[in-house]
Amino acid sequence: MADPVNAIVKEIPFAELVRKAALAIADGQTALDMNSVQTAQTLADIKLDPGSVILALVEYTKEDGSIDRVETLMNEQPLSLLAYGVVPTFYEFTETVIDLRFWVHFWVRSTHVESSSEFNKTLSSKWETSRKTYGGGGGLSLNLGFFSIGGGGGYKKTEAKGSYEVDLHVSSHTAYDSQVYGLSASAACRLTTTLKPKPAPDRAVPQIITKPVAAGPS
Amino acid sequence: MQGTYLIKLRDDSNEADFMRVTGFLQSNKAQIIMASRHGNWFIVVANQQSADVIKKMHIVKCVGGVTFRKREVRIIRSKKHQ
Repeated sequence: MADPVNAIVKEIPFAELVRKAALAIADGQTALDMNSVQTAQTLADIKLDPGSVILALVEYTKEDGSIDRVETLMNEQPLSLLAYGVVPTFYEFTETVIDLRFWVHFWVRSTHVESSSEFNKTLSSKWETSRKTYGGGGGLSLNLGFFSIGGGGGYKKTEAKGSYEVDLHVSSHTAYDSQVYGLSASAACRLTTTLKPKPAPDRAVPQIITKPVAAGPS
Repeated sequence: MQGTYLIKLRDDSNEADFMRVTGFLQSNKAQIIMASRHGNWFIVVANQQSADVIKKMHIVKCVGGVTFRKREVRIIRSKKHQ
């Protein structure tokens, strides 16, 4: 019989397993990216009120270099959270481990049972019968000129003897052969992925260039 | 794992929805960094489990991880002319 363990190992679709795992990770990566893009869109839609964000501090200095006064330069237009500096986090799968374990247990159990028995018996018997028979008789007869008297008797004995002998011999033989094949297989698969933040794509977050209005002399 | 998340509620959410999310965040020891009642959004530091629960709320429109970009307030010096 061929080794079933090798057959089972050959039937495990490693390539298919890896392919599906890769596709699942790709789907997950797409979902993560789409969520980040949606977050970026939401951040762009959320506006901070005008005059709520300090864009710059304007220091007015005297001739000697000392600070005369300080003014804050606020946003005059609604400012999005994206422009404010809140950017979506992008994630990526950096590492994937497919841990596949399987156990195959193969066994053959052979059973041979043989039994024999013998029975010998000698039976003998003897018999003897005896039968006796007695008998007797008498008579008187008168005849002309002749007179006779007589009698008779009898005895009979019958004997019979016999014997028989039987030899009884019984012999039995039983043989039983069985082979039981057992095969049990179990497997466990674990997919471990590492998810790490990654820098946002270059064009995903616009570059903020702050150009304050020119501060004139007071 | 703690992370910073943007939580945006649906546009038709009301104040009760806003307070419900606020209560959930506070009960789960999330740190609310920024929030706007009128804008229906939060920026919070919370764990992944809390973010997942909030994402499944029907009044929540979007939950996404965010990062604060380094932001500097520029200082403009202007010399005063006599």
